Amino acid sequence: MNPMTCHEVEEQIELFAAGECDAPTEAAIRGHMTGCPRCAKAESEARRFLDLMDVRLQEPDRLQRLLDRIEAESAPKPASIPMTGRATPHRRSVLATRRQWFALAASILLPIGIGIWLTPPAEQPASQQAQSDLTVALLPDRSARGHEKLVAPALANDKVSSEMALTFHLQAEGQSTKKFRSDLVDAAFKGRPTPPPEVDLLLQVHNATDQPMRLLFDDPRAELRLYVSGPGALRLDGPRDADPFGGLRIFDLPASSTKAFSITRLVGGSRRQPVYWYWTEPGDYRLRAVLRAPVQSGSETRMRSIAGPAIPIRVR
Amino acid sequence: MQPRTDAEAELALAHRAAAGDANAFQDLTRRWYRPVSAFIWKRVQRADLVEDLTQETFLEAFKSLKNGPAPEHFSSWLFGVAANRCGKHLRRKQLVRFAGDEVPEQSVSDNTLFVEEAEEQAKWLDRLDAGLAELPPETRDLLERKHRQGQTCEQIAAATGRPVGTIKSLLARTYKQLRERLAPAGELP
Repeated sequence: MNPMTCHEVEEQIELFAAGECDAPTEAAIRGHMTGCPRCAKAESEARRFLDLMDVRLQEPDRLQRLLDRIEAESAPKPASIPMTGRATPHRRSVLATRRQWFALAASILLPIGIGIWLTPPAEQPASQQAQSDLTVALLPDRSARGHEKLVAPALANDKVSSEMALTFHLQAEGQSTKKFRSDLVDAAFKGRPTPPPEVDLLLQVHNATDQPMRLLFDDPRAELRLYVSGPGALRLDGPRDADPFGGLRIFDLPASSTKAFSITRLVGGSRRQPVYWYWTEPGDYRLRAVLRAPVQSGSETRMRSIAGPAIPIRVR
Repeated sequence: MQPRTDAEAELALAHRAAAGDANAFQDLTRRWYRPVSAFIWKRVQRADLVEDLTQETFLEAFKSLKNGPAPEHFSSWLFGVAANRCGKHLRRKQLVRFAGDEVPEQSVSDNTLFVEEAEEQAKWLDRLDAGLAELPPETRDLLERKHRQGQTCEQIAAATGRPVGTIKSLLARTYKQLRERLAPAGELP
């Protein structure tokens, strides 16, 4: 393709910023902008405008989600259910209901002597209440290598069911946690953050409707948001080639079905802006996953934001 | 007796929210959602973070209201909460990008300026509203599909049965038209 003029670039600048130009046009515009600060500035302004469009046109959905959340926050909390002992028929029924809501489960084993202890979430996510036709939950990947190590002494706690176990590795071997953290940040400055901990997780997605659904992970807005909170939680911007969806582009969910995809590292965010998460200190943490993607159902496609339950984690 | 001013009405709602009335807090949320999200958008410069930070702001405000006395000036106080949320987010980013440079805490006395700033920011969205209202329904539908539902031009073309080139041309024209509508107000913040 021939080099483009400023006028030609300006004509296409919003479509370019929206990622809607074909590959030759996109390459030509990129080439032009490397030597033209004026067009590079115009592109930056076009992105700001598209951001404003997103903020404005998503406002009704976002406001409604917040209002639902406020209502859920003020609703009386269900009584907590102990996880020990034999399940009575009533408890089995309650647990089954909770599993439908939360599809909870997980605990983590660190092979270097750091144990992790998980309990069921105390609160139910509001977005699940509002959108219970589609739910997500993190689960241990039982088929993963090393999963038989799950029932480690650190997890031999009578409050933890062995079914709530998963495995991952932390990269702090032989280092103080302070140095580990500092090394991570140094690596991030050099533009190549150390890969985050390996995990054996499944993100399970449940379609409770009688319509098939298709989650479009190939859409640039698709995001897998992981939130780690705790004393040594560290979030770093990941490199562009880190894919939170592990190459998965389309996720088909037949009617009334549950499917899962693997999460092998604590990589969240979108393909445009991946995010790495680490825990770098012993202590209590919480891990939560929120899946955001356009979802096709029938003739309708709309952005959905589906939150899984927060998982309490203890790192020793 | 009915409240006489907006500020009094707002204070009455804040008192009811402090007593645990979710409906009262929802009314306050509807009133302040746009200014708060516009305020946060200007600070973090990323539309994809606005929803989370705005939601965190309102939920933290609701929790604080229930745990303490209602503030004398709800909106000023709310923007203080929003500014702190943004500050926390930006400091977390600083760790990676600008280690050693602290993002200064905004003092509480600046909160009234926050309100003015937020109202100014929200005007951009109001101007955009005016531009959107002038569009024909099919063009508005195209923008809803693109920005609200997150569809690509190819997906919109498949869903509407129109050629993808037509969709792209219409989208490009509409963007230009809306930007011209915003232009007299100057550069976007």
